[in-house]
Amino acid sequence: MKRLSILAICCIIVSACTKRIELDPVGVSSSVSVFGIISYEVENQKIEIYHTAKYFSNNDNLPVENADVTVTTSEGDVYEFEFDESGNYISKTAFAAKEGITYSLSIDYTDNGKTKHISAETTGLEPYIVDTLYVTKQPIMGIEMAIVTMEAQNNTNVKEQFMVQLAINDSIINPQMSQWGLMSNNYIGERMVAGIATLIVASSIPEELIEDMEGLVFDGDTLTLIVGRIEKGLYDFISQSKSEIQGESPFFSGPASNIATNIVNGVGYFGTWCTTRKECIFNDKETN
Amino acid sequence: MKSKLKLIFARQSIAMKTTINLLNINKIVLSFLLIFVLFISQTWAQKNTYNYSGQVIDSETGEVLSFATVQIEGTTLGTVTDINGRFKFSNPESSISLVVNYMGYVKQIVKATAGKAVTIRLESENHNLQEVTISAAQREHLRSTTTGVERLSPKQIKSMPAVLGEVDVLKSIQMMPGVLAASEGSSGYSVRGGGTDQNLILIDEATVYNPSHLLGFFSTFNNDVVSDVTLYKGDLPLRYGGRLSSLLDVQTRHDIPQKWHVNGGIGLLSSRLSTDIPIGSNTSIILGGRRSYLDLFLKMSLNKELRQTKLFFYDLNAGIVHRINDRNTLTINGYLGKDKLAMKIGEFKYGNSTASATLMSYLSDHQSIKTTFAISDYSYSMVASLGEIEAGIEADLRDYSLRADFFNILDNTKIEYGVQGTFHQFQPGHAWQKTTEALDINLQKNKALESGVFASAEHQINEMLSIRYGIRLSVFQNIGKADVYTYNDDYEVVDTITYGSGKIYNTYINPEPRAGLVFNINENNSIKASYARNAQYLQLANNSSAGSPVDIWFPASPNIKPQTSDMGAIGYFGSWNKWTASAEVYYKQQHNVVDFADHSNLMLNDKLEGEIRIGKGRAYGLELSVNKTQGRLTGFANYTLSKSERCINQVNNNKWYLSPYDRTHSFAISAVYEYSARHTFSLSWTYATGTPTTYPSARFKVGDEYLPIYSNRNTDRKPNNHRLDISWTLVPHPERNNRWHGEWNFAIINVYNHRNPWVIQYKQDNGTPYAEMIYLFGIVPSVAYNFKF
Repeated sequence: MKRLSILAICCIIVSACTKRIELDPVGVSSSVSVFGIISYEVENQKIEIYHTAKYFSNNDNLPVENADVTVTTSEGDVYEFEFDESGNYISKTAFAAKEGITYSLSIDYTDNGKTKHISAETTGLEPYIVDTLYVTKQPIMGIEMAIVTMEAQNNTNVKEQFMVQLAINDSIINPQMSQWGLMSNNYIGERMVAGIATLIVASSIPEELIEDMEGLVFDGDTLTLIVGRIEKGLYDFISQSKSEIQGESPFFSGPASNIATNIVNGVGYFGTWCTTRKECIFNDKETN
Repeated sequence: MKSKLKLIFARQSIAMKTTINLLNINKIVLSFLLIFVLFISQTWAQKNTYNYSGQVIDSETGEVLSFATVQIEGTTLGTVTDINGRFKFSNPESSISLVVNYMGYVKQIVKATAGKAVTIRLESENHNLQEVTISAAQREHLRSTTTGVERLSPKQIKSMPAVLGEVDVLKSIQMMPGVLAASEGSSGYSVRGGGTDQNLILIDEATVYNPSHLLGFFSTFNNDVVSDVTLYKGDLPLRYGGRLSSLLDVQTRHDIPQKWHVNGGIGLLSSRLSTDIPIGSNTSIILGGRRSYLDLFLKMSLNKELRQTKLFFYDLNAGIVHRINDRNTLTINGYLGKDKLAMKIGEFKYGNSTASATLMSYLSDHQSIKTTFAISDYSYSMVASLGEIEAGIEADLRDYSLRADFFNILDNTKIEYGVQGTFHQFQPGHAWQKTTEALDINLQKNKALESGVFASAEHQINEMLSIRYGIRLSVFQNIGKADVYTYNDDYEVVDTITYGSGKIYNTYINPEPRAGLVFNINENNSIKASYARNAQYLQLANNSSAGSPVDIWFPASPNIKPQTSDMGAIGYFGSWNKWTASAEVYYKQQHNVVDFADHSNLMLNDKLEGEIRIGKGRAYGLELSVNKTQGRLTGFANYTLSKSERCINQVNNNKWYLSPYDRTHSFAISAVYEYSARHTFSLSWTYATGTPTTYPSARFKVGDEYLPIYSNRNTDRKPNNHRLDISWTLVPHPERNNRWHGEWNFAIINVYNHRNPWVIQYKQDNGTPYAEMIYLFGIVPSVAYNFKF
């Protein structure tokens, strides 16, 4: 009986699996996507403008070329963008977003002989001050993990949203949108204590495995936290995008719904990210 | 037809938000009861008849036979035994002969004398005997004034092929016309296009809020302790309310056997054991239990982590029946079920528990009272441990209910009336984290009182026509302590009102009229029609049509109006010799239907009501059913053609869209062939149109990642579901007449290995998106050994 049971359970476990299927969804009309986040660091800002494509097609999304792209501030500054070889629009001059300033995006392009207009608007938020950034070590399943934690004051009267990136020795470890960290001060008291990332302490694993592993932290590495407030709309856009990219849980996912957007006559998001930076050095021996 | 029905359903919900207090409610209830009692007294005063009563039992085991037909010989007048096998009625004649029928038993004709209770012992029929009478079930099928009723016996459920040998009440119910599984492998089901939370599920009068084990693979009901399963598809008996779509009434055994009995089974996934222990002639105890043992096999694993994993479910049923005297019987029942998955990194457990006590009192030969007190509880908890860091989330829902149902039988009239109250306590979520005080989220607890008073009458006008009518007045009250939010048109909180502890801050009252009639064309054919209005005050925040143990029940409130429905049904019912057939059409309108905003956050959300969107729904369909109830080959074939739609504010641009429970076609075929006393074969085949869903039709790009663009909600469908299951039951020694009876059951689930979709995910392969279906099982063989002695 035991053998039969194991056989049957194995049958279920093995047979409960996946199968690639062909779908023929009801179509929607083609559109244009826009994605751009104006940072608080003076640099040539980037805006991605692409045509949408059929979901289950092998064709890549094509960039919208020859568009007139400008960002106008509430102070009257106008920044022009030009199409570059990477397929993105880059500002001709370097600039940074500022607190309280509204940025209006305007895109004009020609599609099948017709001129079309896309617009969006965003406002810079107040920078956020991080008090401390520190690392603690925690053994988990035989491996030592480095838990990167930040502490900051929290304005408990206002619900706010934050976006986070982490760099090790100036190399950002979560560059893709689906990897960006999101936080909200919902439910948090006067002090915000947030775990930023869990890294593997390199000295706790065999040397021969190090080359094949990601998310490692070595003694003496500089960890840089890049964090800042973002608008609720941008938070929703990134949060919903992450859910779509990472695959939603069958238990918690709701009916399929389009990702929030602030783009008029298009999809995507145009926002600001009022970044501040905080650094710490990982000291393997002294970290507990 | 449609336009006429529209006239009937044009009535608007009378969901009145008033400041009426409890005292006034009680006055209404008492006045209502008084009027009814007066009416009954007047009716009695006009009659001069003789009373007949008795009980129908199994001649061998002494088990009471519920729902046996007791008919006055030479007429079509009669009644059906109650859950205790008892019957009572009045007749102008002082001496009559009773014809007693029960499926699987030999018909008996007995003399009855007025005023003297008679015990009728029926003998189980020989397998080879050709029974040609219409059985009790067939008579109920023809003569009952209720439409949309499906009744299953434990024997029928047991005869269907079962996954890993675990026969399942809910999986059997899902094969009935108009009933569909919410998803592959789910215990959740949709009745006539309604949501899974629109089904009231009772075990011995106590509500079961989550009827599933192993995330829905198995139901909470142990078939060995069940005596009767009845599903009402919308036309609910007036003594019940609180759900729009259906009532599933599961009764455990309440008989007092003459001998000690043991039933059991050893399956691949779980084993079960139950026993009936008579104590004297007036008391009996029933005990039953099941436990899965997947974790016991994991202990044999070489992997240490797997050895430490706990993965099991168990449930326990216990009941006591005590016949206090000839007129009073007390039954006490309890159920406890738990699921647990525990690994080194955390554990997840959930479970139901219920307890109920029922006193059945026969005040006179005409009148009886059923008084029930019941407690229901559903809770879940999840704990994650990561070294010293430990975090968890838990939720709980508990009900206390008290009800009194009065039954009167006067000649050709049955009258029922009663009152009930249920106190609900909700703890929608508490999240905590150790090692830091940064996280301790305790969502506001809710309390509510749901009460109802009802009265109904059923008249047999003549031999051809019977009518039933009545009304239920349901009342729902939210009770403080509570913070009630006021939302603007964008569903943002603009104000908060705080109510103190015990303060009734919101009241809804809904009259729920229901009526039905049956017109007996002749002995074999009848036509029925019914109308029912139902109100529902609790709903499930489930963001997934599959349903999950972490779904949260939440009450109607100043922001969430109660859901109501109006359903009309008409049908033809036939019964000939060994066959029954029916064809029913229904049309249902739903008001204040609940759906959720795009990307709604339902977990640990203290502003959950801001995620709710309200609208209306409609469902209509045709249900065809053919049953062969007697003979070597028995079974049924059911077909449903249906449509279910919703129109919800701010969803799908406020346009009508298909409900997630819409299925255009569904077939279910079940057949059991008793080849000999040694071999029995059975098969079941189910087919259903795929559930509506929304596929991504276009994509856009951010960085190197693709994001979907969806078309309108539910414009696509998942692939159709179909599956064939077969089983073979082998009785090794049927010729032996000893007490031990054992049988082997071999089954193959999903014989032709069709992969039915559970979830469809979208992935990317070298930058090209594709769809991937997760399915729960392919072909699954199983074996089980069942025994009784």
